[in-house]
Amino acid sequence: MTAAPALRDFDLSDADFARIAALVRRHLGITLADSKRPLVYSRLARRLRALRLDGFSAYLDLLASPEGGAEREELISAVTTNVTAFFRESHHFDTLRGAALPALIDRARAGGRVRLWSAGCASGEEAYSLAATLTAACPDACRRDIRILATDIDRAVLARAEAGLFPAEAARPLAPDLSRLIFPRDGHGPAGLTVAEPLRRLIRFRRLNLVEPWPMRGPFDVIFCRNVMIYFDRPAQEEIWQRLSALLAPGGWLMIGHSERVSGPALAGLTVAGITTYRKHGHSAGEGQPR
Amino acid sequence: MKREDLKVMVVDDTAVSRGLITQALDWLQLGDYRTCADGAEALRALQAKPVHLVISDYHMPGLDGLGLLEAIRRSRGIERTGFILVTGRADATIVARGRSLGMNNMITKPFTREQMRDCIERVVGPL
Repeated sequence: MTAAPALRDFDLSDADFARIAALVRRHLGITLADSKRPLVYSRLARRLRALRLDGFSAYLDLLASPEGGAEREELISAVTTNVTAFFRESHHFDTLRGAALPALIDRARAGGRVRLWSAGCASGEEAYSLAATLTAACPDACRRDIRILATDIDRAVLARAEAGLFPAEAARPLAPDLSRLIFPRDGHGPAGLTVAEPLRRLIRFRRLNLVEPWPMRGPFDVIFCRNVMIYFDRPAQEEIWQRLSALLAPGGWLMIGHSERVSGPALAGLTVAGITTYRKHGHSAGEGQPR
Repeated sequence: MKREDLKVMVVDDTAVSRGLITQALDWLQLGDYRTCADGAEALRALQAKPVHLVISDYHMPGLDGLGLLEAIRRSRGIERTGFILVTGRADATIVARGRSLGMNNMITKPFTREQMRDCIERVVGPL
């Protein structure tokens, strides 16, 4: 994701934020915590610029006016689109495509088993991005023994992820070929965009609390566990890193969030293989050598 | 999923609308459906006997379509049920709330049976 420099052109007063939050609560039943303020600011500042408005008061007036219907739609998208975007921290997907997948696809095509895990999948963008990367590299992926496990603690968000229904804006940042792969034309409907069936078939959505015992035996070839550890204290983090590492196949890949570092005993079994990218020790022959 | 195995619940408070939906299901040869005229009653029926797919009207007295969706998603055992919302118009607020509650798809009235087929196939895969 490229982030434009923060242009603090507008002033979002407490009163204006409260009015926006009230509007969102009334229409969507979603409570905008104060922590969402920077997000609301950055998303709506874009709208203000597009509409050439001089401030949030003018924006709120527009929303309240009879002509504000279309803009209310934009507001809803701005605040309901989850922060987890498709291909967020795209370098991990580049590594996956370039270094990890070639050997894994060879194995799958030879009849072997390949497992990926999106741990903390939220509304599913990461899991679908994994499925798209796999399918782009291996169009026959859904006929091989390749599965993506996607887990989250929140059942409601899992239902959303499994539905695979996204607002039209979700496809906008995607390159055209990826957009067509994830959201083919027949998936465009009045409710939004539905993820392509072959991609959905690769994924199993399951509820899992990372601090409780896990039912999976593994091993996993790739684990994405990004921006999840921030919810846990240090001892819990170290334990989870250790358990993740233990479930990785030799040479398996662990991708973590941009602000995170693996800590504790897990480090003994992992090698740094890039930015927030780790590999499990003990490559088996010909496995996943970077190309 | 084979069409004869797909269990469907149709929820709509008006008999005519229910009939339009079930006619489309008959045309699709989806024989295993039940109907219900009330959201709260539908929820109890679903908890007692789950289905794969719920097709529910939005405007209903008492528990409306999105209320039913939310209740299903919070109900252990049936929280993964597929859900299609039937509504008069694709109002942005309804669409966004539906998506955030894990709605699988939506269809606007009036619909053709072909549109209903496409809408269902997007949720359960090719029939």
